Amino acid sequence: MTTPASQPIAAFSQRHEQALARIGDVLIPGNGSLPSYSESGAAALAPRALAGARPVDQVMMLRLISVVGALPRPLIALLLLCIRGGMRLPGIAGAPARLLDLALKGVVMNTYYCGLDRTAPDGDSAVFHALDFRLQMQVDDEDTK
Amino acid sequence: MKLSRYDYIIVGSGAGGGVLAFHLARAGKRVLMLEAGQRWQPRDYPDNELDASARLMWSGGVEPSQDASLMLMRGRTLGGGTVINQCLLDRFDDIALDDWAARSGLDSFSETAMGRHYDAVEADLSLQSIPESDWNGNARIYADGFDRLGYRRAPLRRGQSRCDVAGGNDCMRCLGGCPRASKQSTAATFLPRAEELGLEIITGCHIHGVVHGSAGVTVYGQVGREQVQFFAARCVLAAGTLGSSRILMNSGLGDALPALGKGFFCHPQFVTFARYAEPVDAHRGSFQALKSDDPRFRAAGFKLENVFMGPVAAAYLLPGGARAHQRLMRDYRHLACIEVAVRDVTPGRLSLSRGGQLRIHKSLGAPERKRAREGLKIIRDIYRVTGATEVAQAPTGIGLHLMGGCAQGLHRDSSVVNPEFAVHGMPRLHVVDGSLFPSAPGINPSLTIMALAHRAAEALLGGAQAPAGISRSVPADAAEVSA
Ligand SMILES: Cc1cc2nc3c(=O)[nH]c(=O)nc-3n(C[C@H](O)[C@H](O)[C@H](O)COP(=O)(O)OP(=O)(O)OC[C@H]3O[C@@H](n4cnc5c(N)ncnc54)[C@H](O)[C@@H]3O)c2cc1C
Repeated sequence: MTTPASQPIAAFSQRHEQALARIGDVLIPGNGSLPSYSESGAAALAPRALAGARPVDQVMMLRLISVVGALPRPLIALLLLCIRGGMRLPGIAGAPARLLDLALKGVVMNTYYCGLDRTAPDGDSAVFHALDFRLQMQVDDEDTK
Repeated sequence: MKLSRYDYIIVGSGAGGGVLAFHLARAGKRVLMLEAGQRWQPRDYPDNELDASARLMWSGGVEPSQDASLMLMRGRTLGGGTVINQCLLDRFDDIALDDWAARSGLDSFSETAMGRHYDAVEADLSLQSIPESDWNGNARIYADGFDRLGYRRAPLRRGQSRCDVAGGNDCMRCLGGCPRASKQSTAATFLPRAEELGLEIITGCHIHGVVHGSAGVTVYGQVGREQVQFFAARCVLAAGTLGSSRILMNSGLGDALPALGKGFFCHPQFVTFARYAEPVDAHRGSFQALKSDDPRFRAAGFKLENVFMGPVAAAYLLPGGARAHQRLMRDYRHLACIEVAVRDVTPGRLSLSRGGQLRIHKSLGAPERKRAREGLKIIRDIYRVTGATEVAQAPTGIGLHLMGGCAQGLHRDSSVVNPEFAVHGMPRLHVVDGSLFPSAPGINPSLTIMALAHRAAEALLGGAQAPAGISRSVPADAAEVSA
């Protein structure tokens, strides 16, 4: 039995990856044992993360990543700060900020904290090492019958 | 094209569709199930949050409400929400059912009348209460806080058969599908039994609409890029609150059904984290063990959930700028978490955009904000009396219990589905899922969706008395559903 396929989005280019890494580094600059976003290589996972999104949202995400990732780093930081502030606005006034937060913070956190980086010295996830996080699950043939 | 004819087509394989399929197949009916998600073998379920969101959930994880104040989640896989949920299975109380009876005009919504259906469904599931020996640090903090502040709590009851938490297994993994097939999803319980009885299932089949005719119902959609059509004497929509409402709206039935898409509820949830000096290890073992059981909370319209989540979800919900956020995440093992789940009373509304996209209009009204505030205050008190060093409130609300949109009731102006589970005026088209709910119960919904599916099977097969004053619009089938 193979696992059901889910196609990573093809339009995600090297440039998108670099742009996302720049945004990610503002949100996750790294500290001590936690690698920075770009050090973790997490941006490369974005097409896999976005594979389940609606096509219209995929297109919006690619545009957003290109535009925001092209900004100078201080401007990216300022934008993210404004988004955090704007999220507190009630009702539809706060909707753009909350949607931008979902899009940008969502994809950065999803790709970084999923444990799929292989950047620890032992080839494991450096992020999970830093969190000291591991889930245990013993699966026997008997269990899945 | 020659169409195969089935007795029933069921669209959706979650809590409603899974249970109904089993009972119809057991009664000897020829049943076809159409599911947009994919079929997974238990051991192949994703082992990480990224793939679980992208491959098991609609829209790749979350769907925001129109004002983005709530992030909604629903399963898209064989077994639907029951594969990705926490499988906490509670019966509704009289507070919830009396409200339903008043809104719908159906006196069959009562603890007594529902009891038989709960019994029947529970008999087909393995249900276990989480023992104190399986508590992790988060449950201990929750229990300690409740005890110190004088609030009542109770063990959670979960659909599970052999989790072996004592052997070191961590049930949080099962939010991306349970690889041990211990969690009692319909994919692990009702669906395999139904397939043994002849149920046919097509996965990866996205249904767009239905056409109701005098001899049956045509269902159309697509599998991959291929357009498909199926025909059955009757069709049951069990595509969940958003799915079933969308299919009916997309079929052009909005004008005929004025209540369609109205009365949407989702038990808005607000998560609060706290940091402790010692590791809490909230992710280990049975990561949910306790529930609030305080009549004061029930009366005030909220409950407090002993809950936790994986690093991706925690990172998304933790507030703060880069450095502060990273510091909290590095201390993931030191984090505790409690959420307030609100019994919402301000109804939302579902609609379709001109391009056919589903829109979810759901704002937090004054009652929801008040209920959330009261719950959050108690959560902060719990953290204070248990020695938290820092408290962090998630900036966004989430909605996991999606309900309403095709409410069941007597009258077409206030409901979509009649007491026989048929869409008003369309005797061969039925709805059996969480969209039937006339209001938010404030209690985990899926056991009741399953119980309603059992009742629907009786109605469809003719084994139950029609509620007083309601005449059957279609001759009932012959077979009887038994517990
Ligand atoms: C993270 C999480 C935790 C939860 N925890 C709990 C809990 O502990 N206890 C509890 O009671 N509830 C819980 N819930 C909620 C519960 O899972 C749902 O209320 C329940 O599954 C709803 O049942 P349903 O039959 O209405 O729809 P679903 O179970 O959502 O099933 C609907 C199915 O229809 C399919 N579908 C939708 N549209 C189409 C279409 N157009 N064509 C074909 N197929 C379609 C979907 O893919 C899905 O498989 C949780 C939910 C989530 C997301």
